[in-house]
Amino acid sequence: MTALNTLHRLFSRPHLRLIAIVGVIVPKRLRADWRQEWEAELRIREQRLADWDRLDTWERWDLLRRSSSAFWDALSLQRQRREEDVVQDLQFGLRMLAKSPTFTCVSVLTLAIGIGANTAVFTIVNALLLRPLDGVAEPDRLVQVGRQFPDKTYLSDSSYPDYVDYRSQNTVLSGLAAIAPRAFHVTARQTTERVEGELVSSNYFDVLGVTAARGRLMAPDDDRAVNGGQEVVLGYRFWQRSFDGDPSIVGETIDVDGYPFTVIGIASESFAGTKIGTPRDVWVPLVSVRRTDPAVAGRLRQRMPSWLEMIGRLKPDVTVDQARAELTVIARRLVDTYPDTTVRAAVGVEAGIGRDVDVQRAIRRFVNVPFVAVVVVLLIACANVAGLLLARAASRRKEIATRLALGAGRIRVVRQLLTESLVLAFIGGAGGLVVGRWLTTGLRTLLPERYLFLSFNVDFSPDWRVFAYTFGVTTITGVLFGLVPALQGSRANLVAGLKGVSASETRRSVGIRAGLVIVQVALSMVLLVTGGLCVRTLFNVTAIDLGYRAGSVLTARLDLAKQRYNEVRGRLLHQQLLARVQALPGVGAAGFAVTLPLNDGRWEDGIRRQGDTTRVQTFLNVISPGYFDALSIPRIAGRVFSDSDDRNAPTIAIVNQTLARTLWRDESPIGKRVSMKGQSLEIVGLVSDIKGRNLLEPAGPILYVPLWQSYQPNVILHVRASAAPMSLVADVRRQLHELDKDLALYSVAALTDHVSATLTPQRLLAYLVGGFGMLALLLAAVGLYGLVAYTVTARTSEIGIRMALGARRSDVVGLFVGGGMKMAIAGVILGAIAASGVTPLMRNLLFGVSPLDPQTLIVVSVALLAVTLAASSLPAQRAARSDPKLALRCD
Amino acid sequence: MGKGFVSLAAATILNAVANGFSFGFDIVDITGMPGGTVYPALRRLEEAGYLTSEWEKQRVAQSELRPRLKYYAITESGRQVLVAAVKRYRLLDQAQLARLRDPKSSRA
Repeated sequence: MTALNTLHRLFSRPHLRLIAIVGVIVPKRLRADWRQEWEAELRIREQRLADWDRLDTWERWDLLRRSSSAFWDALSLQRQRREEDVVQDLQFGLRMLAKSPTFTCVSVLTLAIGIGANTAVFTIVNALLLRPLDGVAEPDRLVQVGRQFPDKTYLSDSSYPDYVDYRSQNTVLSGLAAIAPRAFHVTARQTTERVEGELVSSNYFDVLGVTAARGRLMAPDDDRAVNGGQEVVLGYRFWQRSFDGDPSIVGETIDVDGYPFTVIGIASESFAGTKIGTPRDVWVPLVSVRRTDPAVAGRLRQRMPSWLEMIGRLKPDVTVDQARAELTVIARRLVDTYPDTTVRAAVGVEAGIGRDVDVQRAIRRFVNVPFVAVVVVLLIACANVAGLLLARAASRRKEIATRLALGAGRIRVVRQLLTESLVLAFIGGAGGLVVGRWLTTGLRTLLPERYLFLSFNVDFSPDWRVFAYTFGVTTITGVLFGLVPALQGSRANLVAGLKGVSASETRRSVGIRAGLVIVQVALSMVLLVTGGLCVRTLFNVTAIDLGYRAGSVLTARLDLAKQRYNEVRGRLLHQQLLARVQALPGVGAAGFAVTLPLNDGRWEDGIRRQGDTTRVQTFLNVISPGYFDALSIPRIAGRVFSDSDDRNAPTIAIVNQTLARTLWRDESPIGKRVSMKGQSLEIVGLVSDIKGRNLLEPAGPILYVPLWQSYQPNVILHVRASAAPMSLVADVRRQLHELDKDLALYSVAALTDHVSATLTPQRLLAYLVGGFGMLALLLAAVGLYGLVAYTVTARTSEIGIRMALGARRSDVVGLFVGGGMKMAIAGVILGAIAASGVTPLMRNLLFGVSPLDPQTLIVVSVALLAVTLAASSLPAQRAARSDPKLALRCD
Repeated sequence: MGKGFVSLAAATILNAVANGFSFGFDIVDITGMPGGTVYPALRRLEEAGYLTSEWEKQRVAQSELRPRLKYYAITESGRQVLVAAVKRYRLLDQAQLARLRDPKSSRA
């Protein structure tokens, strides 16, 4: 009956009730007048309209609507709230925290760890996903423009004539720039360096809104100048790195790919190109290829080739959709005007530059697990601090009861306790920023330079987003751990409170704390099991047989394409270099290939059995003699390439087992022939399979072709060392330098580094989840320790009685350890059940281990129980050492 | 903001009070602005000294069985500010004044 009455009261005259509710936030001294004013108005209206019961729905709704605008009025009165209230709470809170330094320190540390872990993960996500491109003006007004082929999700490049037409015919973009990423050999002041740069239209910097750190940048009209195309802009990092930041480089003439260019300026420090993670070192005018590269210059006149990225800036009031619509019209016009020479593709316009959509998707998918892990760690930290606060509230019962007795509303007391919690949270949050910084730096060491198409060469410093996120997390944390203790601590049991600690209150608060500990243990269990599975996955993946030996192998890239080496000179250089390197002491074997065994280059082609029409897709690698030795890939049948397999010899090839099986089933491939791109090749050897880029997938088919027969200017040198591979770097470099001092090796690394980079996700998961799991366990153990210590102190008199009645010390210890372990076991069981529900969701992240792997569960349970045993026994031991007489005497 | 600057909303409300609409809800009705705008503006104008307020007599309210209403009156400085505002916000002059010439007729 009373429930109905309450409802009736609530809903009759809801507009007046709303005033009462909103009135809660009006400062107290203004409240009565305020309510009077609003209620009077609403009542008058009500009377004017009719009796409440005779009002129709619209009229009732209108009254409600009017009273709801009282909310804005109440908000405006917040300014008049005597700041004294809030400041008073803050001062009191700080004083109380200073009075109990141990509590404050432990809590702040716990919170700093929990919040810091979240900050660290968010910092990394921010750097990889959220941060807009640096160094450009208004990046949200920039769009990518490109050809949209029906079967591809991403935009493709365009051609130069198409670009010129888009640029001149559109009215939606204030500028459209064309970009072609390219590697250049830059020679200046006696040194040559291979750098990543871009060929750009002269309005590139103007469209992007980049500023110059020194000198000037390309101006939009430079293209048309008579001498246009002879200037370059250097990147800031490149300038610092290779020219020591010497300002006199501006105006100097340098060599780019062997042709002279003038340095007109340095780009600003924050700008490094339009692809986050791939910094560019030099920008060269697109039109300069007329002078330096006739092959590419021919492309300037052709509409078909796809080689230019386009970035445009939307005019002030133009939307992406409008731009897309107009550019589509232009695209159709181009197809109609040049039906034979232009590509039949739609044009695509995408907002946002700097990151690939695929990259973003991949990161988002991966980041879920670590994110959940840190949230769990934070929850455990909150539970710890909540428990500590509960204990503290019990000891402040007298103070709170006095306040309540003197007339403070319960809400006031709750507000004050919450303020204390928030102060604690914010101190912890400040610590969290520091911890987060450390963690971020530590996590960065786990990241390689790049993983597939993802570059980790980004700025990980915290920006406003990180601070805002930390602020938000801190506030939520404060409310989360502060609410229950505040509500609990303000319960109006005045008489008992004034007298001191009551048994039932203690029991209730201990009960809540015990519940918290059980939840903490359960959460740690889930994290540890997940972490354990990730660690096992990492082990399994690292143990996969690659098919070749990566240890002790050095790899280095050599690019002859730019250095005016034709085929004859290039082949000669390759042969000489290889001979020299093979002769070096400490070198077991050496060979060239065009792609790493990881198939980074993804060379694929279609081949046919001789006389057959069906094409078979296969990976292709062009290698020199010595390659299989360098990688220790066993030969199964036939022979390997030798120096006599050159231009004058018959064209041959070697297949791996998978390819042989695909083409000829169980027959021996030796002597059979295949045809590729019109060429006929005889198979002379069969080698063992090797794993490609994805170690988890079976090996793919590989066709090996001799480098001496099929010259490639861009090759990778593989050197097997008898000792540490990197120790050979200097010697190898010297050999190359002796042959041609203008050449340089780049991308020099041990093969194991490349291999371990492919395992980045597994490694990250194992470290992150495993690490956070152990952190969670530590926090839970601390929570358990605190609780057991508290119960020991609270039950001191009981201990005294028991010991006086003849209990031995070991019995007392057993009592408390038993209590602690009961909680731990409950937590482990709860955690095991929860883990079994959660881990199957991670199935596709695991390898070689089932999500419900019993071994992991058992090992983790045992470890958890051992740690909790230690956490319970320490305080219990202390209890046993106390003197029973003293225990009885204290209250 | 110089002394005596009022926003258009505040000037409208001042105008309403000057033309005889003394009660908050009357001003809400006649100006069409919501209570959440009118009431804070009334308080601000009172703080600035352009309006004074009084609670109506208890007897009047009791006889009509409702809580007391607060009613506002314009002060001398308020009138000066209104004159200046009407000059600045010329729309106030034309549209409002004609309608407000007979306040009683708008009270339905």
